[in-house]
Amino acid sequence: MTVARFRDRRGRTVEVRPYGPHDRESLLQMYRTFDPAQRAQGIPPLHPLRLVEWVDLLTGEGLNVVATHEGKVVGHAVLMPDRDGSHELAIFVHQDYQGAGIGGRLLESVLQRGRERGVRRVWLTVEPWNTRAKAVYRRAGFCQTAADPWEEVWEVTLDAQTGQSGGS
Amino acid sequence: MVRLVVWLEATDAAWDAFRYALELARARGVGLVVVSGPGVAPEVLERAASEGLREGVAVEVRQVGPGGRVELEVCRAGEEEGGEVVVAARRTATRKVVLGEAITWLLVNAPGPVVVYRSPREP
Repeated sequence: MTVARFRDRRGRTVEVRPYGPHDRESLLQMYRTFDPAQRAQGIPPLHPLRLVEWVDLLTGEGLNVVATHEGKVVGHAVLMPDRDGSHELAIFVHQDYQGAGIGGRLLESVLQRGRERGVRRVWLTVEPWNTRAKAVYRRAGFCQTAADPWEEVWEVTLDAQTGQSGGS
Repeated sequence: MVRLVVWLEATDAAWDAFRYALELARARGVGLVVVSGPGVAPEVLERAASEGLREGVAVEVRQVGPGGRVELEVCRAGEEEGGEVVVAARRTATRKVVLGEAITWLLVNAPGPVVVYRSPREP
């Protein structure tokens, strides 16, 4: 997987690439300064120790991609293997970097990483009122498959042959 | 005496919720009604009863039959007993907390307080 370098909508040069162990402290710092009001469905954890456990869990077991600006992690996407052979997606962009096109690039990159590793089904849960995130998922080919008043489930099937993504 | 009601499945999260309900019941000196789905093995339910016995809490186990909806039985038990209903929130692979359709239904339809227990063991 290659490193993607691009200018975000505010003219900042942002790099999207696979996570490496050297990114750990910067990733933790992104989450330590993450706006608590933007937590979704209980993550990222607020407690400092739980935050470290959570980041180590995701980076230890998942396929991780980070967005960096001037060497600092500003966004993170992960595909976590699930019990049924599918992968759950989670994606966070620091509040200072939202609305700049970084989430879409992260998503594209983590799905590509998934394809390279043979991942087929990717799903996520999202709060129904998070319209900005849902627009990004829709553009990436996700379709909503379930909903209740507090959460929606969206899914996509990855095709390694064509590089396409299609709603399930 | 008003008994508490807890939804028990064979998951770590549900056991944590069960133990929380057991602790509440013991502190109040009341009994506990355990409602489980059809797929829960008898030894799981026996374990729940024996943990209750050990804590000095009378545990009544009700298992929903094949094809039954557990949330309906939990709701019915809540109506009969008049106490809180304790259920476990589920964690996904990324540790998001999800309620799911059944718990959402219970939150809206239960006759009294519903405690959605989140295990402090997880991030």
